[in-house]
Amino acid sequence: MTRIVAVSNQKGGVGKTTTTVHLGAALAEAGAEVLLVDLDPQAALTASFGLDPTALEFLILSRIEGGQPAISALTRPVRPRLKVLRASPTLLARRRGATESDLAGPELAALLSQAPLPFDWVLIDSPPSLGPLAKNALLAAHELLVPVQCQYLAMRGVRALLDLVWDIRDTSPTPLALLGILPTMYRPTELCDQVITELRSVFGSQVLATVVPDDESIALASAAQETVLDFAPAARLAEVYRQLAREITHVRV
Amino acid sequence: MSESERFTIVGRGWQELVPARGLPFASPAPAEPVVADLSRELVGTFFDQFDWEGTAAAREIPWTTPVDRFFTSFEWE
Repeated sequence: MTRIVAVSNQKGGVGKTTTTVHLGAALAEAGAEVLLVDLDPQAALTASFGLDPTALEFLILSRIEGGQPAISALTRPVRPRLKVLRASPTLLARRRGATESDLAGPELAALLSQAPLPFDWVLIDSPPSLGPLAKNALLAAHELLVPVQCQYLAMRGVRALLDLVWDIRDTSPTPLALLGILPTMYRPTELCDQVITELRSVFGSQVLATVVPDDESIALASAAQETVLDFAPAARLAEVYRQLAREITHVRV
Repeated sequence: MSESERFTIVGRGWQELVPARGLPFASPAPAEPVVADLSRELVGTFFDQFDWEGTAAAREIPWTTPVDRFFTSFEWE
C-alpha cells in the first residue's frame, strides 16, 4: 500500500522542501517508487529538479475540465523511480482570477485516492502557511512528518500545525498519524540541544533518531539543481538522508 | 552571560509545542507532561542537600515552607 506523507510545518525555512527532495531521493535510491508532490506556491521543489513550474498544473486541469485526470499523465520523471507532481494554484489565480481559497477542497486527496497508485511513497511538500493548500496536503496524507529547525520559532510552528490537524480531523477521510518529528539544521549549540530535549519531552520516541545537520553542501547541490545524493554521494549529509529513509521505512504508524 | 542564561526553553516544551486542545493523534500515546506538586515539596528538602550547619544562611532558610508558597511570597516585579 502506498504511504502518503505530508511534510509540514507552519514555519517557513525549516527544511520542508529539502527534506521532501532528499528523503524522496534516498527512498528511490534504495529501490522504492516515489512521487514528490509540490504544493508550495513558490515551487522550490519543482525548480530544484530543473523543471518549469508553470508547465505542470494538475489542479487547473481538474478544476477546468471537471474530471479527474489520470495521475500518470501529470507526473514528470526526474530520477530513476522518482517522479514529481506540480500542484499549484498560481496559474489558475493568474488566468482565471481565482484565489488560493478556491482550492480548499480535497482535490489532491481525490487524485491520490486513485487506486492502486504505482508508488511505494508519496511525499507532499506543504506550503509554509495554514491556508487551503496546507489543508489540502493534510487531507490527502495518511502520515505527517514535521521538520523542525533547531530554533525556538520553529517549535511554535509545530503548535500552529497541530492546531490545523485538529481543525481537519473531522473532515479527513483518513486519520492522520504522526510519522515523526525531524530535527533539522542542527548545530552543536546549547539552544539546538535544548530544542531537541524539549521535543523529546513531548513527543518521546516520535522524535526521529536521525538529526539533519546544518550543512553547506545543500546550498551547493541546489545551485547545481541536484540533490546531495547526486552531487556528493559520499558526503556526510547524503548518508544522513539515507539513514532517514531507512528509519522511516521501519516506522509503522 | 551565556546563551542559556539570557534565554532558556528548558521545561517549556509542552507550552510551546502543544495546542490547548492537546495532541491531535490517537496513537502512539505521546509522553505526558511532568507536573510537580509544589505544595507538597518543602523548601528545606532542597536546601537540605547542602551543608549549612553553623552558617548564618541556615537561619534564613524557611525550612518547612512549601515551595509554592515560598515563591509566591516575593514581589517579583
